[in-house]
Amino acid sequence: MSAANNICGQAYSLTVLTPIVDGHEIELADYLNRLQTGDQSPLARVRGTHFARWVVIDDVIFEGPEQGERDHLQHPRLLFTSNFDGDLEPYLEALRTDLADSADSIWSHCIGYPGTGDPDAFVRYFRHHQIDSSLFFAAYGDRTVEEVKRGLAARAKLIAFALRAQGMQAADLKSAFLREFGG
Amino acid sequence: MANVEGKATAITVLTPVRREGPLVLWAVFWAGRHIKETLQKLEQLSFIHYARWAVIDRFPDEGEGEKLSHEYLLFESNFNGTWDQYIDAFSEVVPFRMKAIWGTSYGFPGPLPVEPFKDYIRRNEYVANHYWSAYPGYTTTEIISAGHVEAALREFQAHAAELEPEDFKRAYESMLTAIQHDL
Amino acid sequence: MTELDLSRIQGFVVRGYRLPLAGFIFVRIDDATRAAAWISEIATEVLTAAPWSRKPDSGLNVAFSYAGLAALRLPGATLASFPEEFREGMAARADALGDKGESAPANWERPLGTQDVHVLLMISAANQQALADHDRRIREGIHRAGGLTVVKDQIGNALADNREHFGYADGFAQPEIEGAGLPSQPGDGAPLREDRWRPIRAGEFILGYPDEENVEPRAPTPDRLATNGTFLVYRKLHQDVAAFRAQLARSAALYPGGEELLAAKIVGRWRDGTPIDLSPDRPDPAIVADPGRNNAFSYARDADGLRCPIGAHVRRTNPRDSLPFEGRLVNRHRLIRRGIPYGDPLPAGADDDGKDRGVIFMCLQASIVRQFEFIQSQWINRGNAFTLGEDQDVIVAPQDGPGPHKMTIPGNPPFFVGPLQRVVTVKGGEYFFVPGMNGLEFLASAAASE
Repeated sequence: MSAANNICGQAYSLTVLTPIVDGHEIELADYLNRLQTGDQSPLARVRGTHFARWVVIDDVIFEGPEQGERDHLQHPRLLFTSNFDGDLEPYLEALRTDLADSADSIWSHCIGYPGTGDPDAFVRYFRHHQIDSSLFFAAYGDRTVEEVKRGLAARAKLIAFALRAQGMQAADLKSAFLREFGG
Repeated sequence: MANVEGKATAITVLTPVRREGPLVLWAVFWAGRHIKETLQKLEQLSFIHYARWAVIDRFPDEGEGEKLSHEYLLFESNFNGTWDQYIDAFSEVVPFRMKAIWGTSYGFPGPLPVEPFKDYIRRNEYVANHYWSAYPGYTTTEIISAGHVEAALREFQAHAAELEPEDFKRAYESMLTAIQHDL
Repeated sequence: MTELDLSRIQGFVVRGYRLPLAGFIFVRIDDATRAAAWISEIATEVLTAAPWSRKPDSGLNVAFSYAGLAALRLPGATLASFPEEFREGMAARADALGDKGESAPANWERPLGTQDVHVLLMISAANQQALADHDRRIREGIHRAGGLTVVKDQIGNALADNREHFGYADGFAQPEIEGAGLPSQPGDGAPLREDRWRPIRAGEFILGYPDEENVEPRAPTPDRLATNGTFLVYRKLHQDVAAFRAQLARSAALYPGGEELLAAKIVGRWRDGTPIDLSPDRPDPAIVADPGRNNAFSYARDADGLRCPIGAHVRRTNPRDSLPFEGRLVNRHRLIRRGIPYGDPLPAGADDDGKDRGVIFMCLQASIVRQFEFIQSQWINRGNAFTLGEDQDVIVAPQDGPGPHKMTIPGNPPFFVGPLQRVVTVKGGEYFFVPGMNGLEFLASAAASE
């Protein structure tokens, strides 16, 4: 029942917390910090991803005496969150095949990571370390990445056309429109 | 800055929850999922792409998971504008919701005035080591507008070619009028 | 309600002087001890907000950059208590402000944008003679004091009819400050329902007074330095008048309403200052002349922007009640504006003559980042807050990014102004702290104690 809260429209919120091998957190953080962003990011390869991040969590924060006991994580954690299209298992498979080497470079620093070789083991690992959302808000949860990009392109095209076509006579307007947008 | 990708900003917050917190949070998030008005204000703020809250009762590990002396509340968000503008807006516009959610965490000073609230968030925030967006150059409202524009354009294109020039021009202007706030 | 300590606040913070000339003198401090003595001396002639019995022919005000405060050798803890954006200085904030390309700090008039701008002296004057006299006295004082170098001058001069160089009458909307003791104008305050307004808490503009959150804003320490002080943004903006006129004419050729209406639509006021929301079809001098009317409007009945377009300049810079949540997203982003034009007008119909003209934009606020920088980066340079996509303010914004850039004039059908080019270039600027009289005393004594 609680897994349903991961979904809003056709969008899915994935939260994965994996324990980092002792002593590896600095190297992992460094590796992640140096990753290329934008089109060169390994995440650019993973189809259906809207927004995603990796965050190294060394330890939890202590909010002072009122909290009572000071908590410590036994292992630092790697947090991975993704906001993506569709169902979980196809996406995990996409992580495995699209991230491939990069997945290994990152999660090999985590305890128990089975690698990308075995599809079932990969899925099991991520599902075992998944945290369900209690509340997920998606501003346009019904739209896939492709639909978002297509919409943005269509809007840009229409604005550029509307600007160019201002003041055109009816016949010119129609032929210009059909030339630009097809019939 | 690891938390900014083009027009998108990431925020990741993890706070220790009071003893009675998880029960209260369950009710708060239930309301968020079932009572439409609760999320309406988030929509109206119109700069959040995706946001999620998750309650962590155990940090996953190879076994049953690591149980600390408190549960933890994770907040992950992707939004437009600066970190300061985001917190300012939350504090100004939805202080009761902020109190309902973070009031269950230790150390929360209240949503107003905003400076102590910002200090609190900063203390409990983790900077993303790697942050990625599929469309970093675009804001939430543009994406939503683009959806409307695409739909209107498609509908217009369906019969545009058949119209006589004068009728075409009228229909074209009608379309622009209908979607002018999305252009 | 807290009354302002008017005699301890510099005058131009609380009221515009409405004097037609301004002389700006930028000074570098080379010797902190001598500077301290000089500050003591000029403090005695700084014009405060205490009510006038007679309007002076000229008045002096003074402000300090972070580099200036550092040059005064203030203690490290005091310097560190100033806000981050002020410490960085305007040039370092270029990304946030969109100051790129021709407006980039690398292209600014020196020494603006460098560490050499320490003190800004502002002489406001009623006529050339008064300005020249006061200017001479100030320079003599600087020379006598020693340890100070004048690094730049600038003159500002009002144009006929209160206009700025693009032809618009300016300066109608100013925030009504609680406790200022000035007569209030409808429309100046924070919007309430049904065309009523309330004063804005003084702490939005002056340190040491409660702000809109009912607490005193975060302020530098110690208290006696910060209270009654505020922050000044100084920004020299070159206006390409020929380009603006050409751009307007090009779009107006296709606009059914004609050039003057289009000019009114992009700003939100007719050129004479009539708010377009109050008079959608023509300018109305009677409204302009009446302070009880010329700012008394709300957008409550114009949600679609059919009268005043949503992207119009005055609506972007002060959305009033047109953003959701009953003004709560607006009241903490108000500015006190004190700008003045500079340079000679370009005659109507003339080509660009290569001369420097524009506006010395100045604004005052308790928080530069939350007020000036927010408005510039979110409301002027971007459209997201108003669901205007990538559209930028026609008058002031850089029109950077892919384009084509446009502004929508809502209507049936809508009209698109564009493609838009940049018509305003930043020539330089800085962030300054405007101390109260107590702050000036503090600075004089802190620098003297060596």
